[in-house]
Amino acid sequence: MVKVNNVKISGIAACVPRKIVNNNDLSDNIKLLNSIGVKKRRVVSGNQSTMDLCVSAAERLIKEVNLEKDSIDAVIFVSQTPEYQLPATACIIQKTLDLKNDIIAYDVNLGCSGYTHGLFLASSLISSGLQNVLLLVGDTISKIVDEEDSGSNLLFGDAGSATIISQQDGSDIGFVLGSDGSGFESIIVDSDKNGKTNNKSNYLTMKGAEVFTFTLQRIPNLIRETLSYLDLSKESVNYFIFHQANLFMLKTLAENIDLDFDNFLISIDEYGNTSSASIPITICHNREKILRTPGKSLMAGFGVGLSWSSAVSALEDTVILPIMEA
Amino acid sequence: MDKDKILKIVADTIEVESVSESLELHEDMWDSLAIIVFIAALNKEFGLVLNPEKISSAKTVQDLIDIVAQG
Repeated sequence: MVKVNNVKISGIAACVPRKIVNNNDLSDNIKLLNSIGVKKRRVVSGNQSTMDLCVSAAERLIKEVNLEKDSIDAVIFVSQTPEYQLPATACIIQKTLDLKNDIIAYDVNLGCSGYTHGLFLASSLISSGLQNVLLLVGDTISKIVDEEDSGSNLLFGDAGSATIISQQDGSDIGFVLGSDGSGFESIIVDSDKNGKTNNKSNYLTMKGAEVFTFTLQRIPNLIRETLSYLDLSKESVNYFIFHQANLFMLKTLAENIDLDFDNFLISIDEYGNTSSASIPITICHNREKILRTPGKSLMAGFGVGLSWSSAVSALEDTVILPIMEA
Repeated sequence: MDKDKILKIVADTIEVESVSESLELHEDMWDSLAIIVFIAALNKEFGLVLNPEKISSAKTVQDLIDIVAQG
């Protein structure tokens, strides 16, 4: 549990590919479709990459927040679908966005919990004296989904995001973070040690029921711990912005924690499970609601690792852009 | 554990009026989605989180009752 003082989220932008896939065209299993809760998803075409989506979001956000590029002291790229196995995509982004050379740039390999972990890293860097940190979070999971895997093939959408974290006196973000590697095989792309493909091992495999039980065992406690640590009541949180795992999971969590589902922000119906980008996509998708009634938001990511993390922040002074297409 | 409650949860999970202990669980009705729905319903009713591998290994409704009883 960590509280980082004098830090704020200055702006959030998200970008999705133009190509839309309607799940009704892929399956007539109504029970499964309703349970997953995904009506349509965006998927990349051709060579479009996670970095491309994140860079598009970042260019627009830097402009809208009116940020001098030289004031960006670090760029962090959180993704499981980087440009290359090496070098770090963040280094390529430094060049692509024409950021200064005396910048900290590195990648983080996390998925479902990646956004809130990324916020923690960025906030910690601000706490150590940096002025602004650019956090780019996204995934193009469609590239590693086996089309014959009916569960995963209906679930995942592609998206990228950009978030600017800055110094701000009197503003703070609280975090609870954790990891349990005993479940590392629950969500995995099992390439060999040289990164080469082996039959279908370059595809994502997910043990859905195991991930579900992990979430049910871990996340209600994460939310209770977060509220308790920050001395908050459930009622004092305006929005619960969870990783969009699937609709049934979100409803089950709301019921288990005894939270009003009306306070949950949702994007899974329109964009699917966008992995690490699901929290910023959800924020941008619900921007009008948040701007109309600003307030405290509890974000929570959980999944691949297995790992989890939460972050509580007021999004009152945050520039939230509408979802872009690229 | 209340056996009737478990029978009701199984029936609701596979969307039928009622089930008996001897009902065999075939893959077409007891698929991965059914297992997740069953785990969620047990969690709501009894506060339990059961091992999905055990639940998927059940051959009959009676097996499920035994697994739930073991917690």
